[in-house]
Amino acid sequence: MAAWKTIRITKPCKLRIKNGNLVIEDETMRVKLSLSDIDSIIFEGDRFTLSAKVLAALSKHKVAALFCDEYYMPTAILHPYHQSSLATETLKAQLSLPDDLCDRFWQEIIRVKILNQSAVLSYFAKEDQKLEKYAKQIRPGDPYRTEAKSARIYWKKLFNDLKREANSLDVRNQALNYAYAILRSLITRDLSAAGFIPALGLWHDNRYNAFNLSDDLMEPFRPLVDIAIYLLLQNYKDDYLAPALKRDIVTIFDKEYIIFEGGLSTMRTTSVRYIQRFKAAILNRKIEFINFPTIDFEALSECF
Amino acid sequence: MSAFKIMWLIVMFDLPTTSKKDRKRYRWLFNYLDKEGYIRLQYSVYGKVFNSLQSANYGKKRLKDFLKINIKKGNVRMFLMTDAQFGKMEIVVGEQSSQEEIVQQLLFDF
Repeated sequence: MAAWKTIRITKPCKLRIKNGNLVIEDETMRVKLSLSDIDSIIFEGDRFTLSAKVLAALSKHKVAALFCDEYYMPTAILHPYHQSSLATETLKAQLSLPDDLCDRFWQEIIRVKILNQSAVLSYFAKEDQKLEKYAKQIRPGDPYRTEAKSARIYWKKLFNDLKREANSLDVRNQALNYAYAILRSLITRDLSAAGFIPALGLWHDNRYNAFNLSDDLMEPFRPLVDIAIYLLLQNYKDDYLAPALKRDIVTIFDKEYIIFEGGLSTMRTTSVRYIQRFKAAILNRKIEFINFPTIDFEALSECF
Repeated sequence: MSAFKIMWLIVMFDLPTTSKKDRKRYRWLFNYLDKEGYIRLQYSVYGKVFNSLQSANYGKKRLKDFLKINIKKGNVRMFLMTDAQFGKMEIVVGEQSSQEEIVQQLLFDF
């Protein structure tokens, strides 16, 4: 049974496991939630208590758990392992992946990302011919850093002169960082559920980063998040990350505006299938197995 | 908004509680329903939310398998309804529990 529920913990409360269910309670209220229904959980408040048993149960049910710091920005994710019955096989395939195939994967990923970026720009009538040119030019392994070049144009055009930063106080950056963190936790959960080690990336190879592979694979999804954030930000005039905005950001992962394998779906369901396709591509050593998400603009205008 | 169709599986039961063994079987059913994530709508009336008809049918099958093995006497009935139908249910006296509202939400804020 596919899980479909997102939970956000913002108030002081107590979490525990009772008879296989997650129980959330404070002085006034007590809620029972079935663990098999929960897809992800975001711990945002700073005064909740939870036991180790809750963490174990969350990992067992493949729940993407996200923990936030004192500024309510995500800092940690729960990364369970030994979840896939074919874990060793997948792991061996991942470890023995030849470099040229890695480069080909990265080329495809970046090509789709740039095409998605260009689609996003043309939706807002800000298109740039250079992006499509870059998408054609890209070589295996991206030796000419086409990704960086296109990103520079993209961000400049999409938001007027936005500089992407990790610890920025700009609300646009904060909203993007928040959404990316959720996306990253979803992809990482699906990767470890499929038996991959997210630390070993295709192209990202930062030795301080435990989620190189997640960062690689989430690239094509980034423009899909950007467009949703852009549309959401039009409704908010505050210059800080308002709680209502944050709530809306969480819901973009359940909006149906993604085309994947010919059908309309949400980012939450797409990410699972996308990782499965990636797994098939890795096991068969064939790039053709992988499939990438794109945006359905008609559905998008209905969602936002 | 979203393609998945929320289904409710409602289980109603009357089980004998005269002998000690009957009460034990009653507890088994109660614990099973709790473990599976059913919520109590009223005494002896339980409900569970599924996100599609397929998973609802699967949940129904599991419950049937459990009943076949563990419950011999009494009266258990169940039916499926869509969330829209469930929403049309009138509550004449009393009110809906907070649990009932929570289980059908896509995003639950605490």
